[in-house]
Amino acid sequence: MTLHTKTLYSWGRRKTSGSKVFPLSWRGDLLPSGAGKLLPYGMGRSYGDSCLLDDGCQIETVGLDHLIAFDAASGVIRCEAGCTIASLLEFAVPRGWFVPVSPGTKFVTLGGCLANDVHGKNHHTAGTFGCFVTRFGLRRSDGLEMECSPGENSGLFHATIGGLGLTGLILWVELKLKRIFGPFIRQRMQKLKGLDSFFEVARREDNNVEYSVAWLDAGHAGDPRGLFIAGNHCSEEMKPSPYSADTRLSLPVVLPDFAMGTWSINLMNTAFYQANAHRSADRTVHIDPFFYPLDAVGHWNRAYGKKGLAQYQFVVPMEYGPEALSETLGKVQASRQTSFLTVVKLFGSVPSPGLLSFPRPGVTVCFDFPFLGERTLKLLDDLDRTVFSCGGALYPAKDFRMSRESFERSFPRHQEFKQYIDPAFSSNFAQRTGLTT
Amino acid sequence: MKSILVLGATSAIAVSFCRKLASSGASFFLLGRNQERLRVVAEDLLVRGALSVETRVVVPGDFSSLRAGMTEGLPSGGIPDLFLAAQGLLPLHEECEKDPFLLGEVFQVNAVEVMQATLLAAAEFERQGHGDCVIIGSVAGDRGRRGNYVYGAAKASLETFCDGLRQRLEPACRVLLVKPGPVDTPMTAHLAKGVLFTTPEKVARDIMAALGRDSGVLYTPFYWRWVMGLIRLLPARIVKRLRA
Repeated sequence: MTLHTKTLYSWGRRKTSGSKVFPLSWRGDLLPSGAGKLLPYGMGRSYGDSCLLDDGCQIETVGLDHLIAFDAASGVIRCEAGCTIASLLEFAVPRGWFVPVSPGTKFVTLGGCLANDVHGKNHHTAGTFGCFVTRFGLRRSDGLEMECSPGENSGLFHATIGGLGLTGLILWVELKLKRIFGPFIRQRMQKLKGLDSFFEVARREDNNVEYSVAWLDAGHAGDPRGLFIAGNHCSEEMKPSPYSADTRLSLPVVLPDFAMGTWSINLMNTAFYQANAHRSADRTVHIDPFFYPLDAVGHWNRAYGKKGLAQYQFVVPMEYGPEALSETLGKVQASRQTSFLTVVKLFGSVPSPGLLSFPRPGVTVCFDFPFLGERTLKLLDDLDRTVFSCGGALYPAKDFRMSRESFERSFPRHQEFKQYIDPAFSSNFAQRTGLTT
Repeated sequence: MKSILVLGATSAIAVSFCRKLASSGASFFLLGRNQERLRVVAEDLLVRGALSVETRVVVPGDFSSLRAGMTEGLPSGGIPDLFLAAQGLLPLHEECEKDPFLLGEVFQVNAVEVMQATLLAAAEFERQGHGDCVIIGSVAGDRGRRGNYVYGAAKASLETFCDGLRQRLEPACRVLLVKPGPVDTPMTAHLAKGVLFTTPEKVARDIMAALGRDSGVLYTPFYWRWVMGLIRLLPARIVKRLRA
């Protein structure tokens, strides 16, 4: 097959240069050889450059989307790695099953979920995505297909979970789904006022709720304020309901940079706070707006203009949580930049299975800034100082600028991981952080 | 419970279409070139609820193998309710211009085998008194274009074929010619994707809707009916000056 040069984008609108693409739709097919270094590319929902590779060959996996087996009694499903959560839900929800861990968008492939060992609003009860993966198939560049599970090729199993796609092409994933009775969530919102409330409310409520996250109004001067959003699956028996993964609205063009300026973001944050702070606390909502509010608008990242957005997510040990949150928030406000979607979540103690998994017990905070070039980079460097002085770590799936030193401090098992990297694989992220050359 | 016979069953549009019917417990007979890929599609349909799936390999360019596959999929007694012809080959146009030998393969895959298989299905449908034919054409067949007139010519022949076949089979059997705009599939992987590209899922959804509506020609997405209507009306004097 002829390979064609094509520019690929990540969700923060970083892009590749000089890379070829190789669509791979059949799991029996071999990887391209002689095309340079390789890296899988699914839905391109990683924010930074961990899903991008310059001057190499990216294997497009969205065609690799066939279901292989499903056990309706145990909920164990085996499907190809290019399946998205959206298409999996279309299959599973009407049958009474749900993904055990779900990130903030359903437009991600299962291979991507595995390679980033993603987490969701239920981390405090469930752990990461990788905790529910029982087995997967991996195509190495030497042509071998390796089957990996905790008992078989276990080194490669733990390296590939959170392994940023560097250990080979994930062909298929076997996953334990979660039983649900219908596509609805009983949601509870409460106002948060003051820094301590972000921790007190979460610590108290997390014992009673399966899903929780705190949203913070980052532009609000003075005492931090926000909303604690929690939910449980509705337990009443409901009749099977259809589920469609379609997005009705979509942003067709990239908006001008001023569309997401400080002023408009602060306005939107205030509006969101005011709209929700005074409404009745308990509501039944559909799983889509609860888990994937931003998916309602396709290509929402285009609102951030050509320069895109810069997400920044870190985790620090619980005891440093309040200090890290107030210091980073102060730095953001002092820099006169603002974050549209700022979330705070307490990670639970379920161990993450991957050598490079990001989630660990503590507090995770995520900012997302319109990318303003040098100014934003300076702010992020400044935030790094807080994070690392608190013994924290940065999240590769959202990153496009962490240094090798930051990476190695964040992931102490990086040396152990290196032996499992497929020699033909690389990424812009891996090159910057010294994982590959 | 429907019974579906598919030629070119591993094409992205065929897979999407079959998935829509699988959950209602349809049975499938799949013809394709590659046994391993047919097996992958069969597994997928079974997991999604298909009652049964059988597969046969058809050797390209070999009529006896096509006839054998079709005959097995069309047991007399008349089982299939629907025949879908979805096999397609989109060549690099410049290579066809340089080497006209390639044109033979383009017509063989996109036109000759599709019509041969449809004739075999039509004979059976005529005998059993029901059965619909769904044939994947293309907007490229509506008017010749500098950049793909070889592929376009092969797809255009399907239109004339379907017009006549419709007269022969209707009203007992329907003949639906589907004309998708560019679709994002492995067949078009080498093309730059513009805003006009649609997905195989969308095409499959539109085919399902068209089958309920009793239409003869389906443009998908719908706006291609108007776009191609206008392009067909352009006088030849103007069309020959276009280079797109």
